[in-house]
Amino acid sequence: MFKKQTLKVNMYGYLFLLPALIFLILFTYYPTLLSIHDSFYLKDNLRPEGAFVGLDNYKYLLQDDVFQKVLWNNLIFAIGTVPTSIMLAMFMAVKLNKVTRINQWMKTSYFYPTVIPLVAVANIWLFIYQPDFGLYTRFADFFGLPDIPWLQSELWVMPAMIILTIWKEAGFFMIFFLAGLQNIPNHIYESASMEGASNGYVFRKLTFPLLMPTTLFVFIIALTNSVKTVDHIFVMTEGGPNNASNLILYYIYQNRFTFGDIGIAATASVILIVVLLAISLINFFVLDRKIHY
Amino acid sequence: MKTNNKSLFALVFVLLLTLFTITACGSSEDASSSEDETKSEEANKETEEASEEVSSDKPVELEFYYPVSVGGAIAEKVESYVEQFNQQNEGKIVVNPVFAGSYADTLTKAKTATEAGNSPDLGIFLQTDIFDLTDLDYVEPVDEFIAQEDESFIDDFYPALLDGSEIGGKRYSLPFQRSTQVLYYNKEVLKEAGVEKAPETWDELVEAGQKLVKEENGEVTRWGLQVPMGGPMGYWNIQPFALQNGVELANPEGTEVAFNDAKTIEAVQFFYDLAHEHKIMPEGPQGWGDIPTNFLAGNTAMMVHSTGSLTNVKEKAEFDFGVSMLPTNGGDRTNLGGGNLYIFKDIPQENKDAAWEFIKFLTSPEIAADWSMASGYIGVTKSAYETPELKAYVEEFPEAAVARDQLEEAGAELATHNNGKVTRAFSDEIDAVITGSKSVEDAMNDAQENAERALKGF
Amino acid sequence: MNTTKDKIIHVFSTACIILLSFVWIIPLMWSISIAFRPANDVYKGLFDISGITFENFVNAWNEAPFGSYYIATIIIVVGILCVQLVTSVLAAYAFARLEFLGKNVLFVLFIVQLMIPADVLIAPNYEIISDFGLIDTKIAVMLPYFASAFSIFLLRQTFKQVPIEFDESAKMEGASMWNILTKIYIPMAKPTLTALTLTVGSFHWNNYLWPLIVTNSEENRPLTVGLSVFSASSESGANWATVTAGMLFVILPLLIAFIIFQRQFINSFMHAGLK
Repeated sequence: MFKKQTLKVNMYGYLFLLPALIFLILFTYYPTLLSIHDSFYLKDNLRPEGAFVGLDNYKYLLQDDVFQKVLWNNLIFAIGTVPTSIMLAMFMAVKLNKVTRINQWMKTSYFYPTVIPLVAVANIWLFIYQPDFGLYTRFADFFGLPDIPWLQSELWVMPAMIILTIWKEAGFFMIFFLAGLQNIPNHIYESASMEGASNGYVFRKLTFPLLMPTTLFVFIIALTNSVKTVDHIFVMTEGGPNNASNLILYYIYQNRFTFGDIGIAATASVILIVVLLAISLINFFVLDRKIHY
Repeated sequence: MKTNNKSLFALVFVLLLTLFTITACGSSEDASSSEDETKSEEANKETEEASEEVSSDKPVELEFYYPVSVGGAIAEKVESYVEQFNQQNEGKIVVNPVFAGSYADTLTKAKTATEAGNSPDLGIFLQTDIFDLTDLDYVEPVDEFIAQEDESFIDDFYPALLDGSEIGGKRYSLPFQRSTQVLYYNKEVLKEAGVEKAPETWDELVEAGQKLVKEENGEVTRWGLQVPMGGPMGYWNIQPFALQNGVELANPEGTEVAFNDAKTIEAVQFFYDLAHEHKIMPEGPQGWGDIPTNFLAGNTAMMVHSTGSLTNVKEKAEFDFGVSMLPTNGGDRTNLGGGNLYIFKDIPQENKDAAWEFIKFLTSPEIAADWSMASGYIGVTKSAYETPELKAYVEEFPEAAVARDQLEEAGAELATHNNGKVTRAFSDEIDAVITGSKSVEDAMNDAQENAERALKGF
Repeated sequence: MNTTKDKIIHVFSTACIILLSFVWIIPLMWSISIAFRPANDVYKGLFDISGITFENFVNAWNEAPFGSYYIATIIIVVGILCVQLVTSVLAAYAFARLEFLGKNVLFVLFIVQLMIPADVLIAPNYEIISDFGLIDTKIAVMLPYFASAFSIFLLRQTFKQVPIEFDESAKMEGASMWNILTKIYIPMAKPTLTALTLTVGSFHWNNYLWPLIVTNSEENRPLTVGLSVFSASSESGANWATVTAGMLFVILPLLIAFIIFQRQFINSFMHAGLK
């Protein structure tokens, strides 16, 4: 009787996992293996059957100026977007935590970019960065600031992307910090204010450390986003000028779909997967330990 | 309760069985077998399609890929031609236009669709996409169709527009929306600045440009010249300078490029100097779409742009403007540009025949003339310019014929095998020059190296 | 209690947060004002709305099949939601409450998807969809998102908080597992399910890259892809006013929903963020 019961429960377990597992196998595990497989082949539209070339694709990518630039760009993009948007988000959350009507409105104005598609955001910002009539140029002319060729210069295009991304994401991250703040028991603050601690002191010694788990969670999301969001590139720059705004995922798209180079796209995909796994490893082994202060 | 349990057990087993079969399929699904599957699927599909058409009188449906332009009016125009054609062929042929973005986007879409066994029937792609499309064996030669027509059919096209659409003695496309680049100039400003005529040589260009630049308080309020530059299509706007300097960027076979030829370097240097040395043009990249806006707003006295923008400029200009051929340094004046009509291979014969009917319709004198007037593109046949409408239009607005007349002095657009990568290699390095991150010579050497790598094996 | 330094910081930071909120809202306001101006007024004053017109919206609507884009988007979003919620509820219940051999191994397998989201597997997933012969179908857009490790984990956390005594007493009364799931767990997970519906729904309403790759024809194209095709400027140059009007078609439904159901939206995103 007991045995039968376990078996039944067992069966239910597999049965319930089955539907999700099928899709995970088809669209996460199998494609990952497929990428690894294809990365050892010279495979493009002309040679759809593929020819085994060992590590040639990896060698090619490591020597390719464009790919090196793309990796570098992605690093800059991450460094530019992640810390700034986290700090901004934390600032917003701390300032807007108290529920008042005006705070509610400000929360709305910070959060709304989250519900707008990135392609639409790119459209809006295209007109902000437009050099002759764009919003920035008008603003700069009014205040006597220098004109900046945002999307036209190799130097400025990355800052332009970074600003857009921060604008799009900070409000989203703010929500996590607001949630984090709600979890901090009120009495901690009460005792602090009884002791006459200054606001800065309270933030440094109480709020910031208590928000640490949230911060790390947001950090991982932001870092992952910095390698998986490329929609704006399609609308704004197509990776230019001279690949200064090209990121890994866009490079994969270009090679696979524009140039029809399946082998190179697979190889770049494998490298991207390795980057993502590395991010997760940071999460598991480095950061998870530090949370237990 | 008991029966309920039994049926659940049955369900579990069925589902587990499916799981096993699926995983089994998944593991055996290596590259070769899955390809066989798709091939046999395709074969099935073809026979199905064929039998379907024999047995029924349903009209032939054509999927027509078309690069969209936001001008609005232009896209609507193409749709109206499609409608007109569908009405004329009611019950026989239905053309469904698919707007898929820029030329590059449209090509990408067509390629991925064909790869997936979902080929469009016909489409408009750059004349230069011929190498890509034939290397992939996606498109059908049109010679047999041309042979069915009178000889006068093909002779009616301007020969320059037919150039470059033949490989191995077979013709793969016919011209539809073809352009050359022309010089637009603000007549009122030229007069005011004492420039008597539009420049015809490089020296005259610099001289005129310097007279036309206007400064106020040390800031330029009007440029002498603007040329679109930068971006993935950047090669197209630079190529005329190379042609003007007497150099072809690629051989007709599409296997070699001359990006670091001394004359190419000289031409790119001249282009660079227009901004940095002669100061008649703003430094840094200039967006394709922004330049007509600047010209219309009077921020530049002259611009180089596609003849495809002519009608747009004509409708919006609040001043008297002229159009002339590009200034040269002794070579050809411009490259060609724009899109041709291609028929795909992997479709039933009936669809090919129907697609040919549609191509004949789009290149007929009436449509070619109307299209030329609506957009500014060159009317593709001589008889288009004989139609009363276009004749009257050119008489009243002679600028409309400049692009056509320039065909005599136009060179082929840069086209090679693996065209996407090769043109991108050149455009990227042009970006590097414009933004000042590389010297012209370094950039062109790098472009040559990258292009040669992309051309390896052809 | 509050020092002067504290006050200065407070005033300064409050000024910052108000100023910043304008920086955040101005791009939207400006876009809206452009969409309502006659095409030639685009280049005039910043918020010059002397001549309000609906012409741009009419033009945009006529120039691109936004109606069909809406339908495709709604089908895709609803399709993904329905299937994903079912697969997630089942898997989450299994991980939260059932005991079976290899549970931990399977759990780790599921974690992998959190690390490698389908969004980055565009190249190999395209091959798979292509092998299935599903290119240019709405189902192709949905398939990779039918299972979501994120949804599973969120629901698992929720289910774990349901007191186990509920299960036991229900079992005593002879309820089947299916009944326990539908009558006890799902109703108790309602807030989580709402949160998932809103977050997953808006994610897929806004998704671009994957639908761009697997759709070709207009009837299968969602709004985001339609917008990018619409705004891709060609030889005739950009037309701000019409493009902006088209963009508003794309963003308005979610934006309006967000403004009306602000609290639910924000709470949902908060809820989804609390692991």
